[in-house]
Amino acid sequence: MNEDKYAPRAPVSPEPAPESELKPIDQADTSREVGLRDYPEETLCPSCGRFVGAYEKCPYCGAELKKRMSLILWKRIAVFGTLLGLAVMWYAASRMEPAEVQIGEIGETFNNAIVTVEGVVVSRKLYADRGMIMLRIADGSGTIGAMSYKGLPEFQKLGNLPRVGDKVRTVGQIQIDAKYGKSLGLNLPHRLAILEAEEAQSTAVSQLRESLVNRRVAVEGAVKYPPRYGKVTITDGAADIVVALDEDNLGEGIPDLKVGEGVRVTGVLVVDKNDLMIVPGDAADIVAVEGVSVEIPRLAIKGVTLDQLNDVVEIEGTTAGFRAFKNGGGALTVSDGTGTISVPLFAGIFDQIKDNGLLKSSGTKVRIRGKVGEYRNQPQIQPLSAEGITILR
Amino acid sequence: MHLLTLLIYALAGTVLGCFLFVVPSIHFLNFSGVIIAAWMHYSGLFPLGEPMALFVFFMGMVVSFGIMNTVPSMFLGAPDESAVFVVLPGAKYMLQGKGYEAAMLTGVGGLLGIGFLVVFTPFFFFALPKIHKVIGPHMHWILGLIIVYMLMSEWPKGTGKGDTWWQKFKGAWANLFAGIATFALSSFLGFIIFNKTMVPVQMSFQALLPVFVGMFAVSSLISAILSRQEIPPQHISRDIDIDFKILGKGCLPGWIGGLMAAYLPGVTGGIGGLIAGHATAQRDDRIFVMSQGVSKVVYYTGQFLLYFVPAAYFLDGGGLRRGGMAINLSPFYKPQILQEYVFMLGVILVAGCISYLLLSFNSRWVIKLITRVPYQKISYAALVVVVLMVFFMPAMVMGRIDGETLLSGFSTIAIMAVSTCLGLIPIFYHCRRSNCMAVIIVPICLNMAGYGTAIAGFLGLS
Repeated sequence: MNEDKYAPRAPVSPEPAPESELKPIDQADTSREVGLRDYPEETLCPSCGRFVGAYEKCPYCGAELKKRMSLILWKRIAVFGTLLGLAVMWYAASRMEPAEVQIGEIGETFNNAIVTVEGVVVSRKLYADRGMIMLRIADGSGTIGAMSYKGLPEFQKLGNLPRVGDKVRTVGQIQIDAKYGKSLGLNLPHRLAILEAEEAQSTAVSQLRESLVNRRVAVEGAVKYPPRYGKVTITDGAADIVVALDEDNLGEGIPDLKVGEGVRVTGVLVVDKNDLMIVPGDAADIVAVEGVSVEIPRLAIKGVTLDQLNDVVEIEGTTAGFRAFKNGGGALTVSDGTGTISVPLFAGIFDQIKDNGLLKSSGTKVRIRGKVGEYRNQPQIQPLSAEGITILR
Repeated sequence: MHLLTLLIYALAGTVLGCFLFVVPSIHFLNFSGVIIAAWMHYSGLFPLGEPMALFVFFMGMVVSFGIMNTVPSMFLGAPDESAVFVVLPGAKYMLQGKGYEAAMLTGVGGLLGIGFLVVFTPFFFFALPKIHKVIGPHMHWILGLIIVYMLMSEWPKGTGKGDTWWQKFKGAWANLFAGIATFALSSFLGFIIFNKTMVPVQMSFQALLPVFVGMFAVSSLISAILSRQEIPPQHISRDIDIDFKILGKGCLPGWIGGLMAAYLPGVTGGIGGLIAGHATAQRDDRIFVMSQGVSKVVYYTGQFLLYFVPAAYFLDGGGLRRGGMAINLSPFYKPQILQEYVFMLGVILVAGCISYLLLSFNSRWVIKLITRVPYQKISYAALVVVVLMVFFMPAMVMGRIDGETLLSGFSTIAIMAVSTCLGLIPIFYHCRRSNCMAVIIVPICLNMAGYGTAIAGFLGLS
């Protein structure tokens, strides 16, 4: 190891520095100081001899400099390479179609990729006030949320706003976020093509299986529970299915469905919170039909047991007690001579019952239709709406 | 045990980064792609169920890069997009045999940048969401102003001498034209890259890798290889030529520039530092070199730190993603609680101190190395490394080597080649290399303004 090479420079001499032979203006050009450093020949101006580095014209004397061939070559490579390369890239990019991917194969490293996805729209939410559209597309390998924050007017203008059940092919940009999962940005409305809507497969509610998920189905049944929280349950007597009645998807004009009424629903079968659900394409996919009804059994109170849990039943009897709840409504006790049963009437339902004050006094004759529930290991009848309570006087 | 694991990962990231980023043209964003690709196939790299381990590892790496990339920039002629401004005054120091001192000056700046982050940002969770709510909707025109400033603040570097008016005009305006041309061509490249995935979709999280490697790494290495500059003997000084006044003057523009770059999308530490330097009108080279050291660290580290402000504090609940590292890692974990932010501040402090200590060590051995091995040869070796890294990135992400991945490797190399040519224009025509940053800043700005899709359509890219 050569220690001297890294040793500190010689200490400054206390003697005054010898006067430079250079003029003050030339002292600024350190290349003229003899012995300070040697520059390669080609970096010095051939006219005045000063250090000019990579300049093509000497900044001191303005002389054109003899340029090294390699630099000129590289300069030309840089310019022509850029122009030619960009032209080729542009040509290739303008003609290339984004890669088609299966939704299920999209992983973290796909973040920001612009891809083509083909699948069935299984849910849709439109927010007209914000111009936002949110779809969920399924292709058999998985599902992905697809959204455009302001593109709704453009989709409507182009007439390619897909409905639930439509098979679409779209270009979008994949975004993957640890919190929101994977999504597809629909920034190019004109790149969404509605291919066709699959023919709906008519089937019985009881025949709906996981194998039909993400496919269009049509079922008939009777309304078992009235619409609540944007969902209605229909039944064919053997099985039930929930139908989504989301206004953000169907808009206005969702039919008013009454318990026991017959309906035909066409839509896509999806899995929602581990249960099957049908999502209709629009309000016209829910039509009332005649001749479809499900008998709601009228039982004696003694006959209501926990074996009928979640079944809709009807009882008739007289009020035998009323215990008010703190937040409104109360627990009604009904007796028919064969036994007594509790009927919880929460404020939301109780307040809508006409002459509900009569329920608080014993001896009022009532007919109750509701779902069999369980409270402290005892059956109870849970009315699903105010219509389920009829005061017979 | 849990804390100890995180600390070990933070130290591992720091120490690995400290030695890795001495290699010219290795950038933490490129290397993060290699690590993530490896992790995709060998999940044992980071403990399962402990996503913070990945984040502290990369935070250590980011901090060490912010401080340590001074070494290749200063001694091996390979600056990244944020270090290009340091090189000019830094090169002056090096030619005077004071490269070590300049490196340590930048390191002191980096350390002060770390100090600034630790002291002044613990309450970002409170202030930032409110600031963002006000500034966020105006981001497009703020970026537009920065673009205008970048273009208008470049000055003619020619002599303006010549026999005819054309020669005089050409001499005076050549570099300005080159700057504007670089800016325009970079913007065009940006539109292509942002609107079409030119790399295999599996590695799209690293879609900008070949572009940045080409523009800044390969072009710098080619420049270093072509350069016949001989490095004079370097003096290892025991102290640094600064006082507290210089320290203060250097910190202010660095903090302002770094914070600006950390917050504004597409703006790098170099651009932020330049604007802040002009705004505070500092002329001393020492102030400039140090402020760039501060700016780089505040930019890189601060940008990643912003990701740890819990999303719940933002009104839209979405949080803030700034910079490549946050974007690369956002699919894996989203910080949930404030303790993670505070913990990250601790990691930054530890990593910063270790990096500063190793900066001196690394500078010394690199100085010794370049006396024995010409840096042109080192640049050749680095060029091979980065080209191989780009070529094999598709294979690394897909976890196999076959015809498809090798063909993809050639396509990424082609993108890198075009970007290299573009990156060489400012080097050969003496304009600012920051003009190349138009590759991201212009598409981001226009997308935010709502014109991005229309322009992409006009270019036939949508």
